Amino acid sequence: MVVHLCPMMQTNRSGNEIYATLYKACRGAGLPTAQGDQIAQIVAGAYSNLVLQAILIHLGQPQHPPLVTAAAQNVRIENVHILRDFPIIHDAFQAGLAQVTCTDLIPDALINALCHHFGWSLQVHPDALIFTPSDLADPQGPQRADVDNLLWDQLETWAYETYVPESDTSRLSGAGPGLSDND
Amino acid sequence: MKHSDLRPPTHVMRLAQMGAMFPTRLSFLRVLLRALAAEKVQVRRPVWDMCAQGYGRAVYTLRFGGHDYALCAFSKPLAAENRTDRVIASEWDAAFVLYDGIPNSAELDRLAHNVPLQEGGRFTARDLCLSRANKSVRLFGTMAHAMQTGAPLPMGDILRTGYLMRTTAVYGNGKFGLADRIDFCDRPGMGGPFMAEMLTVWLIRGFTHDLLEHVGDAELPISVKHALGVGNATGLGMAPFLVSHPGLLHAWMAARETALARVRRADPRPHVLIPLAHRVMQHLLEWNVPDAAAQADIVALRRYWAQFARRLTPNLPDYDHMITTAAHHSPEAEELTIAWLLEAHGDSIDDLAAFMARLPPRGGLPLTCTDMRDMIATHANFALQSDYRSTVDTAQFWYVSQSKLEPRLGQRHTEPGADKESPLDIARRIAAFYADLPKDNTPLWVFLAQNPTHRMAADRIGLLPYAPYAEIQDNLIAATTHPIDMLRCKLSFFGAQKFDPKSKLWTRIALYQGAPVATDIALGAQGGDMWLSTFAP
Repeated sequence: MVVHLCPMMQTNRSGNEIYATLYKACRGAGLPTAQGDQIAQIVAGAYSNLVLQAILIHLGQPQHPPLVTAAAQNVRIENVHILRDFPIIHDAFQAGLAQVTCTDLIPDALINALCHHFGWSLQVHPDALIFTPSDLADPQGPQRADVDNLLWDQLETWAYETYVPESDTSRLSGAGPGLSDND
Repeated sequence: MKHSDLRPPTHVMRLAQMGAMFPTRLSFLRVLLRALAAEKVQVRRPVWDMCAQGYGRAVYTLRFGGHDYALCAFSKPLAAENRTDRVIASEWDAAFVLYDGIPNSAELDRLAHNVPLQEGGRFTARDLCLSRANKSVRLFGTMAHAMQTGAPLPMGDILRTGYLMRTTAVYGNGKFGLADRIDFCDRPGMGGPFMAEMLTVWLIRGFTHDLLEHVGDAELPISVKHALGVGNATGLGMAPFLVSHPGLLHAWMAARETALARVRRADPRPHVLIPLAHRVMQHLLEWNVPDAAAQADIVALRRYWAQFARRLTPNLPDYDHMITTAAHHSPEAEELTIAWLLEAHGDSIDDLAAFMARLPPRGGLPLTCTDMRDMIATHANFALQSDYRSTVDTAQFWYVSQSKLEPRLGQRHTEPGADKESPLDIARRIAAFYADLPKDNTPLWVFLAQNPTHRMAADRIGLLPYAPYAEIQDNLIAATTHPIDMLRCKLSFFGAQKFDPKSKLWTRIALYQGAPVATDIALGAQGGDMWLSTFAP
């Protein structure tokens, strides 16, 4: 996939636009609501086209039930889907555990963004990523950003999955007022 | 203020109670106007480029909190058959943007191209709010004709309708590329909820007066301008906001309930309240709607208030007694009594407006599944009262239509689309979470790791010990759920009046009816702050 850096192929979007569309895209891809909401907030505060590119790859990945094994100070998670399972890492550290190992993951811009947001350190191993807590969390509020149009179109395709096709019934009665309305 | 001094969420956060709310002096447009008046803000109109029929463009400017703002208005002809308040409309009588600064000619041209397109346009960080409005055909045309011919103005219609034009959407906070709220909410006067939107609508109100004067070729008396606010057609789109912003909902409710708790402890003020009570009566007499059920509620409230107001003496009953007595009659009587009492004690409560945009702190989740079960039973018992296997308790579903992304409400068991249901079924989710939680001390985080779909419910429950007013304590997908109750709650916080429900899904309202106009604000609104038509002057 090519990420265009030419300004002509990008659109400046508000932080809330990025949040709202990303949230809907996550829902459209079948991800749990809370995770979609939180991912969207994180990315809206630390947007880059590379992060969005990584998210689009993850959105297209199948979701298998995570296998979570907790032992002493460590947690091992298999079948990781990072968009669904990133809260496990946060929760484990909040519970006082020292290390979370995620198999089936390779580092990318999204994972780097999550580490930056939550203050995680990352070690890359051939077959796993190992997360440990640090004190360098840097959450950001939503910010405007120049978004690659092709990536945005793909994101909107996922978001579109949350919209219901219109029927005559829904058009006439689903919102209340009739089709024309004069006062 | 102890929690025990506040009305409990089990009472306040029921839809029947929320759907009976009235605007108060903590309503957002009241807060805005107090701030504008304190600065004696001057509104100017550097551009008025309209043909005789009232089509063209206009620009209004003001300086507020050290920043310049401009309302840019674009008016065009609209055939009657194309006039609709629905989100699916594609053209309107007038379109507006609240601009950050004073637009130059290039910016004005950009706005002239994009603003009439509304959702189809593209906006920048200089564009704060986007709106559109349709004329009240019955009133605008009648008044224009009367003004042109010198005939008497239809005061009965003016008081009944309350507006010349109706906004059908007011967008902000980054929609379609508009500025994010976070970019300007630190400015003086703009930190409260929806301040930019309230400012936009107030300026639109001034535009509607000017437009009528232009088309009618005559001036409107100031008393008529006061009587004319801005209408709004509020549909389902507003309802999900209350569900998707639980922290903010708590902030609004907590401020109002804290205000009530303070007032309940205050010394009575009969010299203010008794005249206000008679003004309330006048408002209730002026408030008439076509919907039979809604009109019956108004008539019942009118009868209650007439008896109540008649018995008032300078030796007022205890405030608590008045509220309790009203509550025995109806939620509307209770909420109206509360709004009336709050009105007389602004010096004790107006400061609470500053807290209405502050989100509550988030604590951590409980450690074990048992702790979480206890938390649900304590704070969210409402969610466990429905039978989610029944058709009645799952009759409806909220969704977004492909058609212009219009929010709609469907009937689950007879219509397609429930597979794309919007996540507003909070009670059902909490109940499912509760049912799946093991009754042991399994660490909650381990359970959530293995059951990721329950995280939303866990997060919502985790907020409640710190934000008891965060959840609507009803099943929002039940057959008995009426979205209009949610609309009225939010609209009352805006400051809306004259609720005119057209069905259980949408309502017309009036904003700013009775409010100061620009010339009043420039003088510091010397007429006072108690202008809500609920207390009709």
